[in-house]
Amino acid sequence: MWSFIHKLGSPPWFYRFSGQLIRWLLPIAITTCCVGAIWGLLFAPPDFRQGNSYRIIFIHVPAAVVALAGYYALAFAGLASLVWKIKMADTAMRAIAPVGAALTFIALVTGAIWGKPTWGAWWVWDARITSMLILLFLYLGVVALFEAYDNKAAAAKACAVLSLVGTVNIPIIYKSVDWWYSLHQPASIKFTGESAIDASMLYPLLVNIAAFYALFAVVVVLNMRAELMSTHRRSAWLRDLVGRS
Amino acid sequence: MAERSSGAVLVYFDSFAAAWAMAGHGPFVWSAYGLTFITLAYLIFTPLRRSRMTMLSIRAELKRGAPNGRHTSSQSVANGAGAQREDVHAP
Repeated sequence: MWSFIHKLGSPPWFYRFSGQLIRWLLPIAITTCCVGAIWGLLFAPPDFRQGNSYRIIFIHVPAAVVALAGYYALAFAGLASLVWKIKMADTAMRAIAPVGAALTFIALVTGAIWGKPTWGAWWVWDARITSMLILLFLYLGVVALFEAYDNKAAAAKACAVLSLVGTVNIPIIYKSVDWWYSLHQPASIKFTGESAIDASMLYPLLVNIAAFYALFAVVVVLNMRAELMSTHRRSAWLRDLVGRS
Repeated sequence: MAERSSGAVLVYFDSFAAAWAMAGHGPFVWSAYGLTFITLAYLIFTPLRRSRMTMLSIRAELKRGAPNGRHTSSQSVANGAGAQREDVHAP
C-alpha cells in the first residue's frame, strides 16, 4: 500500500501506470455514459407529476454528486501538497480543479433548464443552488490562482490553502436541503433504508452516477498526463518514451 | 422505434417525433443533454490535444538532434524558466 503511494509520486511510474489505466477506463466511461444517457432518455418511464422534464435528473444529479466528490479529491490533494510537499499532489490539484468546475457548471445549467418547466423559473436563490454557485467559484478560484503565480510552488501552496478553506462549503451543500427547506427536495436515495425513488428510475440514475465518476477519473488522469508531459519535456525518461513510440 | 412500446423492448416513446417532442419538454431535456455532451467532449479532448502537441514538439526536437537535456525532474525546468525571467530583468 505505502509503496504504491510512494510510486504514485514518481512521474515516470505514474505516466506508465496511468497509460495502462486509461486504456481500460476510457472505454468503460464512454460505454456507461452512452448506456446511462439512452436509458434515461428513452427507456425510463416519465415522472407522473413532472412528465418528461425530470429526465434531466440523469445528468443533473450525477454531475452534482461527482462535483462534490471531486472537491474532496481536490482538498485531499491540497492537504498532501501542504503537509508532505508531494509534487504529484500539485499536479493532481491542477488537473482536478477545471473538471470540478465543469461538472458544477453542468449541474447548475441543467438545474436551471430543469427549473424552468418545473418551478417556473430559471434561477432561484435557493440555499442549495447558492452553495453550489459558491462551489463553482471555489473551483474557478483554484484554476485562476494556479495561473496567477509564476512560481509553481507558491501557486500550489495558495491553491492548497484555498481548497482546504473551501471544504467548509461542502457540509453546507449537503445539509442545505434539510436546513433551509425550500424548492429543492431532500435526498431520495439513501444508503440505509428504503429509497424514495422507483427502481425503473433508480437503476439508470446509478448507471449515470457510475459513468460520471469514471469520466471524472479519466479526465483528471488525462489532465495530469498532459501536465506531466509539458513540465517534464526535458526529462530523459519522457524523451526516451517519446523516442521509442 | 414505432409500435414497440407495447412489445418486448421497453422504449417509452412510440416514435422519433414523440421522443423529440417529449410532450412539450423536448427543448429542455435535449438542450440539457446536448450542453452536457459538448462540455464532457471538450473536457476529454483538451488534454488529449495538449499531450499530442507536446509529444509532437518533443519528437521534432529529437529529430533535429537538439540537446538531449539530461535534466531529470520538473524542478530544473521550473528553475530554468525562473532564471531566464530574472536574466531579462537584470541590468
